[in-house]
Amino acid sequence: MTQPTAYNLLDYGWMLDSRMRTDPYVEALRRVVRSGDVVFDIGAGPGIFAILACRLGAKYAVAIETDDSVQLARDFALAEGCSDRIEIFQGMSTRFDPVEKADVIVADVRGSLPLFEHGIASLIDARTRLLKPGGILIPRKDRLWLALIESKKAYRKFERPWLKNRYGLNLAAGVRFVVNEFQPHRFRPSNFLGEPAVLREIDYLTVSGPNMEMPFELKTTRTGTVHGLAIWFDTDLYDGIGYSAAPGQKRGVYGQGFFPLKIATDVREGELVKGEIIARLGTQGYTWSWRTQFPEQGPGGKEFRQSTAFATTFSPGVIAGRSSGHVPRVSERIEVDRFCLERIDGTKTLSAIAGELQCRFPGHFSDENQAFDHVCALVGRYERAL
Amino acid sequence: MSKAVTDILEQPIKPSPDAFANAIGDELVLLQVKHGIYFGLDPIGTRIWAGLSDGRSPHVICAEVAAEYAVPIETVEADARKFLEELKANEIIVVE
Repeated sequence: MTQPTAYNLLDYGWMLDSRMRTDPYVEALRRVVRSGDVVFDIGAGPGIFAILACRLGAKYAVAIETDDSVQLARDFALAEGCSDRIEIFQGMSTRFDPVEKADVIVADVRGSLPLFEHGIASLIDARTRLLKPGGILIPRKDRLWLALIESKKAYRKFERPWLKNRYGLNLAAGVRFVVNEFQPHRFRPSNFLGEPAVLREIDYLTVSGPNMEMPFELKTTRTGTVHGLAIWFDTDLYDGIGYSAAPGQKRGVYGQGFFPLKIATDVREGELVKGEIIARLGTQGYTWSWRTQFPEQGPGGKEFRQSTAFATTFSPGVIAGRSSGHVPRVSERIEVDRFCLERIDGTKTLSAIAGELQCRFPGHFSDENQAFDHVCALVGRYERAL
Repeated sequence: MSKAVTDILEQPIKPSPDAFANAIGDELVLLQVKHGIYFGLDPIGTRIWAGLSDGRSPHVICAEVAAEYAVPIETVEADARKFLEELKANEIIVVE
């Protein structure tokens, strides 16, 4: 179910060039691909792992990817002399209906963390629907790690310009939104205020859903200031072959996710910090929520509840529009789209639909080109989701 | 034999640990993080939420709102019942 991602070809090139990530994937493929295997590469980008699988003797490999970059796999396959053994499926893997199941499925559908877009859901579907019994899924497991972080540098963007700025402006109202944003960062082990702990192991052979509720308890090992939580992952691709995005590891494409605290909090050595990280997949990707408790801070302790859902300055009116009891009102924009969709009958061209649209709503479109652009964008929403 | 308390105003309710809140002006957005359900609260809803967060009982909060907005207590309590039942049904508030 790989959905359209924010990656472009440069990003794919950058990831491929990262030895920290690519070497273990190549090694895992070398270990598992046998002559005559069927291999699916999910979230393939331009299809590099599919081409590698062919070079390793696969009967054929299918590069599955929503992004247009997958079309480059044809050129690569031609250059590699395996164009007769590469297939391309541009679309979500959940829509892929293979003639035979795979002996090996290789996937990298993560972002900076494994909980990214519909990656977990894609792997669950792949495991249950696309993989032969006894087939091999790469990756096998990912582990999420968590650590308490002291870093004025990482926290700076949550304070400036909101609490401190050189113009003397009172921008404090912005803080309660920005502190709900998690940001990529690269920490060092010296930023740790205690030993990191495994937050969750994601076993791709057993994981049952994309949503995760992950309670944690950490102890500080030194006195300092907690500015936030860092989350990263390591992976076991196959039989111990893997890599880690932990602070202090070789520089690669991954950093850590920094989840700031609403208020940086001083702690003493040996202090308990607990809470829960909740990752919930919605139509727009994951919402991350983090509850952080300092039970030893004064009577009743101290607690912060933050969520990426609050990182946007939306109004209560927008929220009301998402409630189950909301009754949408008919507007001209809705009528325009309804008119367009009703004209899609498998015979009319985009241009013909645009012409009718412009005649019907002359006040909405200044010319037919504008109407044409609107029809293209509307139809594209559905065609891209194939 | 104890009698079941069915009136939500009589129940010891408090915000759920899974209810996260953020203010926008004098209004509030609530999110039930495990279900992904949002609520937008108007100033009176926000006032009730603040009272619950401070540990005050629904009856006391209703009396405060009635006095503050010069509205009959029966009206406030009827609205508060509907509002709190909806929050309870969506696990935004829980019974202690």
